[in-house]
Amino acid sequence: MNSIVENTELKTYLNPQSKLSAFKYLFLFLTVLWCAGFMLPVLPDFSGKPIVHQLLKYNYSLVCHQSESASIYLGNDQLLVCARCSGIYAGALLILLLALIKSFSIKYSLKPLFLFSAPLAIDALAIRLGIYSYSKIIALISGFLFGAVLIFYVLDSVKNSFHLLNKNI
Amino acid sequence: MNYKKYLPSIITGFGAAVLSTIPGLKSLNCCLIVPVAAFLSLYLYNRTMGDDSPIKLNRALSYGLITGLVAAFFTSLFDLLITYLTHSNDLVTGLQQSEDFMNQFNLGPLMDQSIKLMEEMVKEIEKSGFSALYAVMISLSNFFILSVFGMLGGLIGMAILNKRNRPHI
Repeated sequence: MNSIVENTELKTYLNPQSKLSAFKYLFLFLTVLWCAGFMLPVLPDFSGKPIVHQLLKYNYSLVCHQSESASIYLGNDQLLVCARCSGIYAGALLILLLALIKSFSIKYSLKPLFLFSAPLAIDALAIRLGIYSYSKIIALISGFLFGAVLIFYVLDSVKNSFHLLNKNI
Repeated sequence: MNYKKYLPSIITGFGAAVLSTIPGLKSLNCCLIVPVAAFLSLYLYNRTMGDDSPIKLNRALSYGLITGLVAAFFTSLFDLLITYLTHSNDLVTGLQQSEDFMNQFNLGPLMDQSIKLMEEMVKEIEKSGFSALYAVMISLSNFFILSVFGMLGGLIGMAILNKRNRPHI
């Protein structure tokens, strides 16, 4: 009887589906934490010490140029990342939330990745070449598409990895 | 522990740190350098081992983490070294611009205190080439952010390389 219980527990523990769920929740938690970090200064009651603000600003400066003209403002307060980066994180967050409800799968193709990354690449290149000036809306949307498709692939790959691991045990 | 196994991560992490010292390239790449380095470390591992089997999650994360940590160590080291030798860095050169910007928008007492803190760090750097607060701040930020983005790069690398290798699961 004991061995049956142990086997059932072991099967549940090794079940790739439960592992994937745990991974999704952890990933979502970390992404929410990350997004909260760059939105913290816009909170009306943010009473963080200057060193906290400075540390946060420096942290996000490692992953974003934080240009004033390219950033989103909520009232007088500036988000700690630019419009494009905000879009990337928003896209990732949305897909992670959707992934909790529905499971996605991509059948061995990198085409969607290139297709959804193209707007971001084209927009960045066009701005660099001076074809048109920077638009926060375009940057936000192209970033959103890129962030969404990237997390889509990461989740799919992690799912495959858990199935593979399960197969090898 | 087999250190040779992690040689691709150490090399690409060091390469990422070297690239991050180039001002133009740093701002152009935003958060791309370390994730690409992590991706490259997985690719190099596969090439050197002649291993076409799908990359597992733990390998992707460990290679990404090591790439990020190595990049963080050398990025902090190079930054502190260059600051010590030149008595200047991005913080020193960008202080006036930040002050002008803050004054335009009148962002409140928190910003004033942040500016004061930055001025103190800048004074120390201009005087002796070193500020303990600055050193702690950049080291903490680098180790946290670059290791997170290294792991993310590892996950994206796993997604792309596994799609290319087309695992039969």
